[in-house]
Amino acid sequence: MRRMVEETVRDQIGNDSSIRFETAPDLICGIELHARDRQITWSLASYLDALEEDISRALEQR
Amino acid sequence: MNRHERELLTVLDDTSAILDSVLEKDRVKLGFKEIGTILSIGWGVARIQGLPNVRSDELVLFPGDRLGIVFNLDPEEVAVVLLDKSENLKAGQEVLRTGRVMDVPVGDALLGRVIDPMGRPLDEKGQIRTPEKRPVEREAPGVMSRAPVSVPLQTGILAVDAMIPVGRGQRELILGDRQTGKTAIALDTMINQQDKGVICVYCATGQQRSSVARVIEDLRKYGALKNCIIVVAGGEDPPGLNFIAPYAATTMAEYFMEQGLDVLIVYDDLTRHARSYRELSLLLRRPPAREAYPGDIFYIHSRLLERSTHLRSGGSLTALPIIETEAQNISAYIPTNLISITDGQIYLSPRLFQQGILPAVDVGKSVSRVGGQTQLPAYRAVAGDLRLFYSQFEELEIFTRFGTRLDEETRRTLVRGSSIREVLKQPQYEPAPVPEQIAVLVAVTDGILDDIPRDEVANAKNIIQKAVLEKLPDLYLRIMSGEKLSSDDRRSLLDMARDALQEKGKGRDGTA
Repeated sequence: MRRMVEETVRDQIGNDSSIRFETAPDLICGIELHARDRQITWSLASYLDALEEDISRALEQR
Repeated sequence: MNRHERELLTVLDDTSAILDSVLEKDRVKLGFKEIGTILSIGWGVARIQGLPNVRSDELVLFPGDRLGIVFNLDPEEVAVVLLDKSENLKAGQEVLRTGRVMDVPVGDALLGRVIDPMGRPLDEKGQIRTPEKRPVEREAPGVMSRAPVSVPLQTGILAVDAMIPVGRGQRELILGDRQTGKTAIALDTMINQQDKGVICVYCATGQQRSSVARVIEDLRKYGALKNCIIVVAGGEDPPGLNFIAPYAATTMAEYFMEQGLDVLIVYDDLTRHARSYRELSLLLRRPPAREAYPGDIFYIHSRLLERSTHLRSGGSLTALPIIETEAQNISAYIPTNLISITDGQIYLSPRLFQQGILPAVDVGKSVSRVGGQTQLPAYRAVAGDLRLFYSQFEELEIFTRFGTRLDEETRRTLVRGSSIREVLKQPQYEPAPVPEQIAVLVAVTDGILDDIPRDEVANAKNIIQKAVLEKLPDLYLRIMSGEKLSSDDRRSLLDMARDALQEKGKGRDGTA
């Protein structure tokens, strides 16, 4: 799994980048890619955050 | 099933319908975020690395749902002003963009409420629901959408309404040393608006909680709170919150102005607002200028006060900014800035305050640059030369203090002047309606009160005020509707005043 991720990232942004893996329990499940000041997320945590925001906005609008 | 159960079911149905619709739309998707990391945290400010596309004035989100406003955009870092307390924030934590600028709720639901500059309730009357939010920083109305100031805003204070009249849409500065009654003038004006359909916004910046609580209590006691919005940023709140408070309050006031209503906004006080901005600027290492204030201190106040105006489409926003001077120095930096931005000032003197002349309005140093044209016609007939006469009297009084022999004319001027001074004294919380003010002015300028002992003038003034509505109800209404005062009207007012005083005099003799 890790090797697949590593290969894909190297395909996209070049060979000279060093990649560090970390297990973060607060993501619940999913994967995040951090690069300096940018972030690509695909996780349950970010889904739940977005859901919370959308629901409170929808409730506020009523 | 009873009514309550049915209502409960409807509410539950509605809520689950909303939840369903949101759930249907939301899918787990790949998200792209810009993040920043906190480099350092100070009291009220934070330095952040990252957030490559963040914009000036954008809101950013700190851990724990705390907000900040982007103030400085440097090549290497971003400086943010915090709107919430900085406790528990640490270097290295993540900061996210929100993509929006600071906005506040606006609407009728705010009336009668006490809120903080973000629109969060501070009273215990529950959540505030408004259909709309608007940004705190908004452009001032353009030249073509403005109309000249033409309608008076009655403060109910004789000294102000007669000599330093304020018009709707005007910006009139109230300045003076501490403890000279600046807030009292603003408060009386707000109390006087309750039956005139003027909405009041009171914005406290950097004030002690106890003094704000007193203002709120007074407004409630005199029944004016229901037409007011109280926006409070206390002295212990972060400087960022204090800084945005006046802008947020103005946005709330503008909503009503744009509905065609007349609104009065009191900024209490802008000295402390300037100090919070100075604090922020120094913390952000912007270059200090005079008195360590940053270079754009004039601009932050002018862009705030430019938003007050009288709109061509109806509706007005009158501003009463308050400034505290130190040791009566009205030529200090911030007071001179504001004097030049506003359309006049009401100066309160500690000397008059100590002499018990309340309100302590120093007529010689006060001016209203646009209010004169808005004054009701009835005033112009009686108060025309009052200002000049009173200023001359004050000067004359200083010269004659050494007790030299005086000629008859000087003596008369002094007696008349002291009658006027007695009449201008007015207790707090007792705003006087226009016709009562006119009656008193007619009486005093005609010399009716000159022969009365000085300590009884206040009493005589009360008698005349009470008699107007009783004896001349027609004239009362005519003055209220803005009619000119004819010479006949003037004569009947004088006769009425003389009769009322005589009657009262007889009554007193009889009982004595």
